[in-house]
Amino acid sequence: MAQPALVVGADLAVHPAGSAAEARCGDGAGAAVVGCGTPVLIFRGGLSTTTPFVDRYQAPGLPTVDWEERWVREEGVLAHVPEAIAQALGRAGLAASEIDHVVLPSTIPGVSKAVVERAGLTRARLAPDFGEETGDTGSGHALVMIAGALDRMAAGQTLLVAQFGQGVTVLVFEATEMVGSYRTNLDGQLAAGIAEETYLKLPVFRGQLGWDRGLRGRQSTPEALTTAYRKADPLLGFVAGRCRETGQVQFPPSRLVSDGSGLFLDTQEPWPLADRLGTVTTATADRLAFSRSPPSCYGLVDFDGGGRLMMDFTDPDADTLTTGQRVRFALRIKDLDDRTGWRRYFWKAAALVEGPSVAAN
Amino acid sequence: MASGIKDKVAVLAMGCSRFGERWDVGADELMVEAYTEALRRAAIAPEQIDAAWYSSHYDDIGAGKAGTPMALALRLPGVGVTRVENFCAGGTDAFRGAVYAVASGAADIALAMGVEKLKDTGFAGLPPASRGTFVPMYMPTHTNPGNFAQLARAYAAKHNVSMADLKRAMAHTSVKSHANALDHPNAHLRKAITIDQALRAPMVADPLGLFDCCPVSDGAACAIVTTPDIARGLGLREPIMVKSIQVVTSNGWELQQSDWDASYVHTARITARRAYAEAGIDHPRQTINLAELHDCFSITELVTLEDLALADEGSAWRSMLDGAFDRDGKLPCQVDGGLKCFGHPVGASGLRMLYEAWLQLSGQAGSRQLGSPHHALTHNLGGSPAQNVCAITILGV
Repeated sequence: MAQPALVVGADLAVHPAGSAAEARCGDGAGAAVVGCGTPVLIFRGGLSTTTPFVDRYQAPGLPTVDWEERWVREEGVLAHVPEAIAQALGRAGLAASEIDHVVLPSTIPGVSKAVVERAGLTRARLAPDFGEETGDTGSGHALVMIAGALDRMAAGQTLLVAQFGQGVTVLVFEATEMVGSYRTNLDGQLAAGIAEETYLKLPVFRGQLGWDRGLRGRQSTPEALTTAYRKADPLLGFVAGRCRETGQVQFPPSRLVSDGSGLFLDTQEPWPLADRLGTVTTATADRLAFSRSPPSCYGLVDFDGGGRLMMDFTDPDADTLTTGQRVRFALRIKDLDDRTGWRRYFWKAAALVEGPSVAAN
Repeated sequence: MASGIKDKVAVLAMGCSRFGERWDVGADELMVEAYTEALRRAAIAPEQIDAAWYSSHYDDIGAGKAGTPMALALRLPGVGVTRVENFCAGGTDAFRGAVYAVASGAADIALAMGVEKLKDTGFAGLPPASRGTFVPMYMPTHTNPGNFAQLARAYAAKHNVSMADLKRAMAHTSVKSHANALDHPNAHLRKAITIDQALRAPMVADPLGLFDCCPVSDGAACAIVTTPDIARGLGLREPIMVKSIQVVTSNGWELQQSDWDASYVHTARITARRAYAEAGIDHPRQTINLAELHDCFSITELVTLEDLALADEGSAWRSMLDGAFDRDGKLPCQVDGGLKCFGHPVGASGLRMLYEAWLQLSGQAGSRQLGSPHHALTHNLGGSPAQNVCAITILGV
């Protein structure tokens, strides 16, 4: 009996400024649940091979080492992938000409088309690689591209996924009746993208460019690990307290609460806020406070169902949030301590974009 | 019901240093300036001081947080010094300590001193708050302009005032204080500005521009208080009396519950009600002759006028534009320039306000003298509109 599993691929690309990799790659993530429920895709067969072919190398905090793309294409991808595809098709009991859709992530232009031709996938359509929209999202990209393929597949059609990297993995699937009604949130995510034209933000945010934080930005952000653990529910889970006597919601939770009429001890029960929405009561865009992306935008937010919090706003349109606007909540980096590398997370308010696919995210 | 502080304690004398960017002196020398003036005016010897309160919010370099920096700077002869920290309201709280000591009979003469040396940080604005263990994990990286900018936005939204109108009223508030400070030799900013300058100033925290914000100053101010009998014995025919001191501190209601609409300061309304009751004042607008409000930002002054019932709710911006709070208006505010122009050395500001109130009530304000006022109010706010310490003092003849 198969156990359900969650598969997640995610990457945050750090490449040298001005490199081809920087231009072609992006941050992103894809996820799939396998082994339970009513499937959209059924696994027909596949395989993984390994080969000591190192085409790029990067140690943490050190620059990337790349080799010539022509060598990677000829001796790497084209030498190994078509053969692995042939073997995988044999295991799946399918002929090359029976494949309808192909997912083949690669940052080298033209290589996917060459693989399709050499492998004899005569009727297959290449799934969109989102090279212009997101760039190659690294370890998440096969999943991102599968999501793109799903949105154009019909029941009974076949999907071949192949990816090269010190070996090859090939997976062959067949779409079920479910595929017709199934929609991923990919289009919504792509549509919600905001163009950023200030290139310098990228190397600054990636820590690749030294910059002047001003005296306010030089303060270290020590973490009291004891407090972080003790308060993990409110800080990471965004869990408030709701008094079972009065219904009053409060963040952060506390033992002793008052509603003006009386004091109550230990009457608060956990009240998660993360999936609720809120309304901005008042706000500012602060040009004096330290921020990696000034101005520092924050304000008082009232939660649906009670409670409120003075909190950071996030996303590029944060400075447009003002009284009355609806917000959702996202777990984001709150502080980065440059001295120790400590990364603190907390929840921030972001403008609520109408449309269920993004709001539900 | 407690009988209150009214008429139990007299202000014997006060002192105030020159405020400003005092590159030439440290906190100890600032205190000496204020102290020597007060001693001279009181005509007493240091040995007659029974107890002392010391307000200083930031400075803990070297000496730590204790009463010793004041005792050392003033060479106080065997006097117990209590240190008070209560955000920007510490000055008034130090005054409260000294007044209560005299009222209790435990001391005949007590000293309250506030001082702040802010221009040793290397940058403009107040130093960032020190990092505690829990609150910084969820609170935004905020500044005071940002905190009070939110008051302006919420006020405009609640009272349906256009931002252009509110900005004009805020500009008038600052222009008035700049004009007032021209007449005070110890003020930090002694330079007139125009409405146009204020409106065109760079934005600090939307919608507050540069001239909506008070400066960061070095300075010290102090009070010597005693019993009315001793004051008369020392030759004061009509000593200036403490009519009321009230302090209220936020308990989390504003920041955690949704009933507060962020357009006013909750503690200020409670403090004002209690202060008027303690002083026996039924009609503050008829009784109060001048006010020194905590105008850390122009919007704070406007909102405070309403919170203290000195203007109708939603109308202070209009009365400000009509000149009601100018020096020749119905209720002169910040005759000495206020925080905006006299300056704002955090721990000293409450005592600086009392200094001007005392000078005016005792007819010693020179070219700024407003006839013969009989009641003066000071309002000293520490923290942000959402979470603060509010202190109000009323002095009278």
